[in-house]
Amino acid sequence: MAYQRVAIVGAGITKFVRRAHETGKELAAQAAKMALDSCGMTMKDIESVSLGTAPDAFDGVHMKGEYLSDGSGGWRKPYMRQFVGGGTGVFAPIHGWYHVASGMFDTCLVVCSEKMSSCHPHPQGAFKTIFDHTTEQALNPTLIWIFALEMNRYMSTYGITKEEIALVSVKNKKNAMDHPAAQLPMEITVEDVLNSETLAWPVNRLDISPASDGAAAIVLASEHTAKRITDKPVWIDGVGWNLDTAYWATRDLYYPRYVEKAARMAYEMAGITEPKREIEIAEPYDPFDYKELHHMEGLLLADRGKAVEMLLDGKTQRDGDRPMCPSGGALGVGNPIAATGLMKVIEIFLQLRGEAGKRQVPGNPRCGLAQAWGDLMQVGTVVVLRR
Amino acid sequence: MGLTERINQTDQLSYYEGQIPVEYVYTYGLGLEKFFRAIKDDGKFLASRCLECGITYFPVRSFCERCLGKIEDTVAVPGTGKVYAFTVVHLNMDESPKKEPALVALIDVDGTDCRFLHYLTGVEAYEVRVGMKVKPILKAKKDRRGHIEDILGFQPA
Amino acid sequence: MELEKFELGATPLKESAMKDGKVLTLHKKPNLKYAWDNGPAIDRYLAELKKGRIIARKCNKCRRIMIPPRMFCELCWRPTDEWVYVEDTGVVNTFSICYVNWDASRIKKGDKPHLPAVIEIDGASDGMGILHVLGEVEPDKVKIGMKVKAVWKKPEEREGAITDILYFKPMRG
Repeated sequence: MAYQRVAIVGAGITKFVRRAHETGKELAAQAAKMALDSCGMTMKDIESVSLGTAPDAFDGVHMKGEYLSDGSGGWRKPYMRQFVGGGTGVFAPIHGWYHVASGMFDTCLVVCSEKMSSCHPHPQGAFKTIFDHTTEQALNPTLIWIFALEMNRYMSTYGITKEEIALVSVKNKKNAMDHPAAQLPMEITVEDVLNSETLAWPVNRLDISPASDGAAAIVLASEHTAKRITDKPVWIDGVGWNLDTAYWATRDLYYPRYVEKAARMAYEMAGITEPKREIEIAEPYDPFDYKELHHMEGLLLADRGKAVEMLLDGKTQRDGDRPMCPSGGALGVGNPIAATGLMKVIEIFLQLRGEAGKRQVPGNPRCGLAQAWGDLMQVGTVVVLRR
Repeated sequence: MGLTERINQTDQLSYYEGQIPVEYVYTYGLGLEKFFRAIKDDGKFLASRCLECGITYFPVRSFCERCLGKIEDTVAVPGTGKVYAFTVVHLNMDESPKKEPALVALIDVDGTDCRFLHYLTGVEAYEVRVGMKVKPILKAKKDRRGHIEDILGFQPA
Repeated sequence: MELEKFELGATPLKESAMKDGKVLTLHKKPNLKYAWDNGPAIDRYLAELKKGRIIARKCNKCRRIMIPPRMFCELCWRPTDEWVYVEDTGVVNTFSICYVNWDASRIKKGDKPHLPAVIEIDGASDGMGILHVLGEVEPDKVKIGMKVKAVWKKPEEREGAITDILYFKPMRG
């Protein structure tokens, strides 16, 4: 397959907060301007724009792609919105990659923005409508049900305990202490997680990431353009995405087969044959703590049911052998859906450049991965980055 | 390849009724907060100008859509303008006839590069012309709450 | 670049700032009402529920018996072939004990928690689960793998909805 090599050359992010004064488009503009400034570019240098944002129902703005276009730099540009639920934050850069890799454009601004606080008093009213209107909504489901059901199945299949899973939340919220955009940085213990309110057993409050407002952005450039912009490009060497059946209750809830398929697609493109050895650092999607482990297995970074051993051995700590979510993840930095996935891409970008500040992992990693997950627990989106 | 079963009798179509149970509280954001505060408290109209691109936005925006630069300063404008286009609306949202037709116009706002959507008041439909000069009419201060309806409409100047 | 060297956007607001009118807000409740067409598969599914039976669809290519029924097989990407009645019993694939309502409000003190579960229906293909709730069981007695049976509304109260099954309860033995 012939395509242009694509690099990330700049990044921007807003703080992630429970409720922002800014509108969604203002958040988008703040993140996008920072991304341009970070690499000394202006909108005049941008040839195409890829926007990622989650359901319109969160912001209460229909046609959110159009609504956010001015804040995302879409004015009189080839502009495209991407949306696969929670997987959007990595799907939007994948589409940005396409724009450039195809040779259509030499630059692409990728922006992800979410304003969940408009949904009042809580986004659950909007989440309810992702269930089938006729065969499921009548049962009054909450989004937490599907996570609780999946977590229970995962724990039961492999004999993993809540205490063990809580360690992910402890790790990520602590990692977030060093992230300047973080909404929920904290030092907590496993007991704090277990003693927090039980929402839907086995899920407690501190097992879950918060609802957030926030935005993130990156600038992509083709190889010859990137080399003019920066001497530290980070290459998108593999992209992958995959979708499972729409009938979520019939899937193997203990194993995300669709994430594996997405990862294999990205690995093949990047020439990665031994992901456990070659992927040195990763940001698996962690809206709930067990999901980090679940996704590490789907990403083939751990054997099935064994991610928890890496966690218990300390390997996934920032100073461990295979750091996972060094940013603090959705659990610690916050979860403005689409912006979260792009925040993860940005973290790997910074880590590979050695610019992650206090969050910097040791060992000068050369190859990392960011992943997001969404729709009704059925989509996996993956990018492999190298410096 | 066709589906194996079809319903040809439309009176046999079955459906399932439901709602999307959402409510919203929107913040105005950094730009519109300034704009509507000035109307509510001072009865004044504000615009904002991107010095880089030379564009004056109305209502106030906190960033420029062309360069994405931050705009913090505001400039006062009279709020007057010219009718760019108008329409006469005869139906309500539910398609029932209106008692009085409503006049809706896009107004080129003086001193800015923007158009503004609002009603025309104090004028009959047959009198309205494209290019007609108009000025905004505000509610009394005590009735203003920082809302688009604080402006009753625009009438011929 | 390091994030620490930038002034990051987003101005956090407390909910009180909105209530006190320190910032301007607009409150809107969209009036969104829908009548979702059932289509032939779900139409029959609901009609059979009203009669106290569960019906599935079979694909003669992959031989899966699918519930909820569908007119096309999403794996073989072809129309399904036959209607097949399945049992109103099944096995708990996974479950939760839920203390929050759909709108994130908490259940009343003393009320029993919701017991959502994925139930693999007997007579359908392996792993064919549906979302429903459990009843007539103490939360701490629920187990994955437990056999359960549907408890139906009285025939005259059924309306052709998934809620014509009130819940699934453990089977004895």
